[in-house]
Amino acid sequence: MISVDNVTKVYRSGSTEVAALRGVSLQVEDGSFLAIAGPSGSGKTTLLNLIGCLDTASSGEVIIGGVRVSDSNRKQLALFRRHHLGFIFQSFNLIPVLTAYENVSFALSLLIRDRTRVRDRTMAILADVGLADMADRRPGELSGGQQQRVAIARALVKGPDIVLADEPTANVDSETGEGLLELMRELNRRHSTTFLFSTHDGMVMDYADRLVTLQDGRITGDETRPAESQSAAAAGSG
Amino acid sequence: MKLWRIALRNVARNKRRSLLSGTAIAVATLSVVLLFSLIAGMLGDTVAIALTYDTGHVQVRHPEFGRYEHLSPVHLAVSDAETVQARLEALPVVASVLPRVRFGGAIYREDQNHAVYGIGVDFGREIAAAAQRLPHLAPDAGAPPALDDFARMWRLDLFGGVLPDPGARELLMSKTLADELGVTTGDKLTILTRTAVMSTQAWTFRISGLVGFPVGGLSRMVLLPIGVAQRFLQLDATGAVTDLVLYTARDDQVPDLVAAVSDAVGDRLQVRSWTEENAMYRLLQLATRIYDIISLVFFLLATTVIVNTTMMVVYERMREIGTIAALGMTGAQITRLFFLEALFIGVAAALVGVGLGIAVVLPLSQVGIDYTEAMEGVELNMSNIIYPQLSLRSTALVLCYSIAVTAAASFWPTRRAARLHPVTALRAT
Ligand SMILES: Nc1ncnc2c1ncn2[C@@H]1O[C@H](COP(=O)(O)OP(=O)(O)OP(=O)(O)O)[C@@H](O)[C@H]1O
Ligand SMILES: [Mg+2]
Repeated sequence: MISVDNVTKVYRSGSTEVAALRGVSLQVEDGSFLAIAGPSGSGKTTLLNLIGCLDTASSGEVIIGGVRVSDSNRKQLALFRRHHLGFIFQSFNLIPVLTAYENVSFALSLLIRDRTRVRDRTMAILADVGLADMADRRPGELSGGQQQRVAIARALVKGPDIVLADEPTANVDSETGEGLLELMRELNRRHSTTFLFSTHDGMVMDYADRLVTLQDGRITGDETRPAESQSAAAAGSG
Repeated sequence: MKLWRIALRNVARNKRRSLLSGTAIAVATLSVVLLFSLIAGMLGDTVAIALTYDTGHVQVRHPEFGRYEHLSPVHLAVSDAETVQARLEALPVVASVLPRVRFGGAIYREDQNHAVYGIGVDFGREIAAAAQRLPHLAPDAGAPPALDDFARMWRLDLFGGVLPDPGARELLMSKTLADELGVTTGDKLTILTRTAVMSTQAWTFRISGLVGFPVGGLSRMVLLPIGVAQRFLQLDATGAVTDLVLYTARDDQVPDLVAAVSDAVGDRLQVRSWTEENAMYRLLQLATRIYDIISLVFFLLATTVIVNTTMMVVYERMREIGTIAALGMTGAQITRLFFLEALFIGVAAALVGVGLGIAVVLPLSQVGIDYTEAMEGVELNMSNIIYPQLSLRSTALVLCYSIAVTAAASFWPTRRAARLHPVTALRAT
């Protein structure tokens, strides 16, 4: 359960102030597959960063699984991210000197010391994303879609409570994007991991079971979709 | 996946840059190893010269001799030297005692006066004592004193001839002086001196051999049998010598030697150790300190390269830092990752620098560096050929030092990486 309560975020650079979020409140149930839509500059990334414990709010509260993360210091936030959160980035952000396997196992080894367990779980998740036979390739030797699959594996390998994905399909073509969405949807169902997306992509919105719309730092729409309409949408666009 | 393995791969990521910053460290390390071994060689050389020609480990002489040394005050002598010598030889810490007669004089030739300095020595004893100290140079046991044995131990170059006959008015002459005088082995010349009883004395000597002294400051030197020198300077009546040169078994026993000898001779005679009043030794010790500062500057220069490289690395990998922070790496872990990267370069470069240093110094310590041209006309108590010395201790110290400097220099920029705000880092392109 994620609870965002009347959160504001103001960026100050010199004398200018930008209010990226102006009083956002949002409750997200565990296991949601939630998309945040809105025009550029509306505050989508800012909101994800706050929920992702990468940043702290100017006012208001963010509570994740009962933990008031808005009060935590940097180290506590880092440890919270390590144990509870996974990230997927628009431009994949894999570590270029590591192989696909190592990118994934590295994230897990921050949590688990047992090397056999790390290996087994890494191989299992790489198989889940369909990259078992490309484990030894470095990011430079993978396509954009494959890289994003590695990133998905990296986000999910530790079994996080929440995966935050900032425009995960923006850097791949729509067919690849759909494959990624299918994959995430399936992982969401299988592990009941909460997924939060930000997106411009209509297709992502179609897959979501809940669509929150931001405009100018405020929530202007919050729409829950019935299960059959999602599958219909998914089938329709597939 | 261990942090150090990632760091190692990051080193290889921009090979040219890693190489560049490694080269800076390696060159600094190499230079410092060279500097230190050179100065160690100079110090060792000065010590060797002082040990052989000047004081030995400890010198016993008339307390006033030093004050008037420039006047060659042979009257300020150690009288009844044999008794003193016997008493000193009885001390357990004493390895050998060598009587010497030092004097100054002039050679008049073709309307010109030429200054000359002489030392009367017991060639047989000198060889025996040196053989104890330098067993690897020792002649075959029981062999009669020979010029080439003596020359090896006194680090003399040979230009033909033999040792002076102990009872004859013969001498070994510095090749430089002989050239100046236009004389050679077998020639005769007259030396004028003032004796211990303040009379003027002129004797004619035959040159039995020519030798090259290792030090410019010794270029006007002649060596003659001590008995002959005593008679020449009228020291024979009192059985006097100008000084006694003492050796102990090991350099680190010198303080014991000083104590024991002082005890034995009382304050009737001056007892001075080889580091005391040795201007060259003092100068070199000062130089060592200056070299310490120079090496510090070298390391500082290398440091700027490391700092710069590490800062560039951090700047370039902003988004990566944001990513690993998002994965939950703490600031300390991020610091460690970048720190290890810099440290790998530093350690490898320091090892290469020290390795190269050893590779350069080892052969040089055999061949030597010839300063003859640079030292032309300079009368320093330092050899014209310096043999750099590689000290294990100082080399190890340089290695540790350069690694420590690298580590310290890279720490600051890596801290910056850790302090980066993850959101700022992720937004970087
Ligand atoms: N670090 C920052 N410093 C200053 N202003 C910022 C910063 N981050 C975001 N902003 C501003 O906050 C507002 C919201 O930005 P945000 O990145 O959340 O928008 P977004 O909805 O993700 O846009 P996009 O769809 O283009 O990614 C924008 O006006 C942006 O310029
Ligand atoms: Mg955004």
